[in-house]
Amino acid sequence: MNRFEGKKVFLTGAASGVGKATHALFRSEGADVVAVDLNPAPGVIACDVTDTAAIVELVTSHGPFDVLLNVAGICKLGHTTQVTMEEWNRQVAVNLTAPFVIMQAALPGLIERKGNIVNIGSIAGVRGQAYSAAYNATKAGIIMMSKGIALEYARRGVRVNCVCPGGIDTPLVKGVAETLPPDVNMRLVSRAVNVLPPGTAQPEEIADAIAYLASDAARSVTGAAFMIDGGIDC
Amino acid sequence: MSRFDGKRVFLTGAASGIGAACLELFSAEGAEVVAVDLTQAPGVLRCDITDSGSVVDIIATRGPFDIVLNVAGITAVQHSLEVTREQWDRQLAVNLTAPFVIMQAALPGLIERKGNIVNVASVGGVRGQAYTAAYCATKGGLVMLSKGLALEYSRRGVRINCVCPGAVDTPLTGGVAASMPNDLNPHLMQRVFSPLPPGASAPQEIAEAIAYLASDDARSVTGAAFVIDGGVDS
Repeated sequence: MNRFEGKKVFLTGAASGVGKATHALFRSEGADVVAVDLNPAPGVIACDVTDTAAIVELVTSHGPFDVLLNVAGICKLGHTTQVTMEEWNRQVAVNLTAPFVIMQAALPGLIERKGNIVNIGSIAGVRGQAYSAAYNATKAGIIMMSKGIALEYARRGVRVNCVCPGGIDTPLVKGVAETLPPDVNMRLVSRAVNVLPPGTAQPEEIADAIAYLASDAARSVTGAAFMIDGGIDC
Repeated sequence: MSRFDGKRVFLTGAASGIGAACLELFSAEGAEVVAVDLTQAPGVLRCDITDSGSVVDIIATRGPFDIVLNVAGITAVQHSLEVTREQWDRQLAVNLTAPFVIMQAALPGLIERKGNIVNVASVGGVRGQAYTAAYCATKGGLVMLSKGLALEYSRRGVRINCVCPGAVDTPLTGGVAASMPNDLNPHLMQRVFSPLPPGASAPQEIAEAIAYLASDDARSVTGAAFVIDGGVDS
């Protein structure tokens, strides 16, 4: 397929996991992808999405874009009583404020090109998860921000959607699992595990869903929070 | 694409609208489709799905199936005070009981073949709509029926999802518009209109979403209620 021939795409979190799979898929379908990540990688521009000036400058100088994909995200598990202000602020900055700033910068170009945005929400944005309250807050925030912007710009022809993954086989999720404190209630933790075998999705599956939402096949889809979670949200 | 090569599909509501678009798309991608409808059409078996004996017989004689698509549905826009018991019973029978009976009959084959089900619900199954309380009840019921079954059969490898369309350009919605009472509150009616131009989806767009959910790309998706509504639910 060549669903993105001639399309300009801005992608964050492109160095690993879902972002990396998305980068590969969109490029293989003809897109010209401007990809950024905190970590350097081949074909990826090193940029901290929380550095507002730097990210806005990238969007402005490389734009206008047809598709914006906010994939970068972080998560840290821990007892809520032990979450530091710094950890809270960092999760809010990466997962919520950065997508807002990037969307604000990209929207004039997206309006001009009747483009669309796909943000990565999470199952944690629609259901509570123990030991990740800050992450819950940021992901619920990005879902409702997406719905609000979807309504606001529907008449201008811009679509805004979220995918909400459950367990995925990525470096982020593996890293997060290692931060799980030893004294947690495992019955609560198990609520966040996919019920459908094999228990985790591959990053390529999330990239497929993102590509569908960003494609013309989804031209009536806006404000959606598409669950790809192996049944957790049932 | 040939996502459904060698797959056996059971499809209801195949004579018009979303069902006709599904019959065309799945056949084009290699599926062998057993298609039924109350109304006669080329390549479609005539069957009233509320006649449990005959629909179960078709599934038993033509199965096992890899994919079941419950698309048939009816609606009516009217003041709830004026809904007759017969109208209520008929909507329940077509929109809710028939899919249950069909899924029950098809599940042994679906388990054997690690198959999946896509049910056509509605944005009326996730948000209230005025003047269609019976329809909302059936579609809300179908969404939760799907989620319950999705959990129950996840470990057996069977996925069950819903699409939730908003306004679609089909004979069903055309017929509804023609039969609407003229004293409806326009503010309430406005809530069901899609903010995204052109205001209604083509049936092919819903068929595309159904095909994605029924395909292997969506192998981690179960229990989803995928809203394809131009932002009505935002």
